[in-house]
Amino acid sequence: MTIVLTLVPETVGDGLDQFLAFHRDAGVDLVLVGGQAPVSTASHDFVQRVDGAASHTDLARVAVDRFAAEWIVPGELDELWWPRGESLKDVLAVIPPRYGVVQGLVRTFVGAAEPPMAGGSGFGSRTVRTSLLGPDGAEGGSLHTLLRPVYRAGPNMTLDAADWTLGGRRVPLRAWYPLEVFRYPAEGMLDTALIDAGLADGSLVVDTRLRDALADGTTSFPVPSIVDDSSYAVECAAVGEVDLVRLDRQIRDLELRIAELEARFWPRVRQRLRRIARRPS
Amino acid sequence: MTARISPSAWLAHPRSPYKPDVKIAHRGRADVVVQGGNHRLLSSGLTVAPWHPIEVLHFPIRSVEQLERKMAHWSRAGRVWAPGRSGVSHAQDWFDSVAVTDEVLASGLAAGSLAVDTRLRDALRLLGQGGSGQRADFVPELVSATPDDGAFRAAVAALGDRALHRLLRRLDDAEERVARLESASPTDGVG
Repeated sequence: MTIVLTLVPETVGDGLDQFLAFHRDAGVDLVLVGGQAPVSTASHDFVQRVDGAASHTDLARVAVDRFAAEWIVPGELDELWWPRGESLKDVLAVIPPRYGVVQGLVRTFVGAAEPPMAGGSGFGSRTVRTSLLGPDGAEGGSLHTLLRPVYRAGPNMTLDAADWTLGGRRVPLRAWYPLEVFRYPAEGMLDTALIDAGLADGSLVVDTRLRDALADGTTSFPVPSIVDDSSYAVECAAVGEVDLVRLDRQIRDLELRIAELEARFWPRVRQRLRRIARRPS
Repeated sequence: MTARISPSAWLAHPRSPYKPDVKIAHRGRADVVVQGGNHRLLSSGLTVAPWHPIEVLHFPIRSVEQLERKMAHWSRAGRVWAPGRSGVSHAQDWFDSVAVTDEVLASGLAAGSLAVDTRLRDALRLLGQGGSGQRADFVPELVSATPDDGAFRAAVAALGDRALHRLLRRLDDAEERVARLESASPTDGVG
């Protein structure tokens, strides 16, 4: 299995080396970089710049055509893709073939960095993150802020940030997110009082998984137990991807599309019948 | 075996052996068609009761030898066995990947995601001690041992989520078919 991470960064901060090392350990085979930002690829043999590529779609098509990619991970430099298994490969290998989109659950780390360990990671020194188990759950957030997509690769594929399924042509794996996206925004840090309040009501939690995984110099990923997965299932449900309101909306959208198809279909049938009727016998 | 899952949400992992599920008992009909695995009826004409007056105590993973037999049955039936983790190809690997250790059991009991359920063990002990002459006492003792109502309601709610999830899955399939009809070139851009 070949996993390609695509990057189109606007700027490059000082976390690039850690970002690349993490994803190499997680099982990414190749990082393709597009856009104009200066990314040094010299010290990383699994990073390649693609001249003329300006979007994730451009890079995904190169990944498929030149490198036979099977999965495409559209990356951002402040986000780390954490597999809920031994590696990204381990997690993606068991996804049934019918699914074309797998989603990662976003975990935003909001606290200021603790003093980093000697030689440690800037990412790993931030250990307070958002949780969906707090009193407000997902707070009505849109799915596109709570989740990130990974795509099963194919020729001429299109990555649309506004429509991951391309109008339903890709089937998404819903309500189970076998990847987590650890997000480390440069801005939006909470102060100590807000962090204490969040930790008290459960909307924030201390998560040391990355720090612990990095402790021995290379990243290792623990395999979640059934207890971990049961707790995680509650958070997956809190995302609200599977609820009656959303189901109702999706059915109405589909009904409208079927009505449009019908409106296109019958005039063609009538036109065809008229032509047949005019033919000399 | 007395430790069991006590789900409070639908575990939607497509290959998890621990997904909450239902089994069916149905009225006898000559034309009934039951899905493989006995999870639902494929034939029409029988309405599913909206509550769960019976629990099915399921012991899907008991030993390496039992998993070997299960894999052999599936193979003979032409079914492809799909593990929940990559690199798991033998019964021993399968058993090791899903067995609950004492440490996991302790954390699950503390978190409420696992429960100790001794109803079957106790019932079997009673049957073993008294034989058929003790049956009058047997039922009341089992009723009093029924586990936490709140946990049962949470498990039933998880089954409701499962039903919604299945509807959405069918809707996704229908949407894919509509999208292919709409598209002049059905595979453009999909990959």
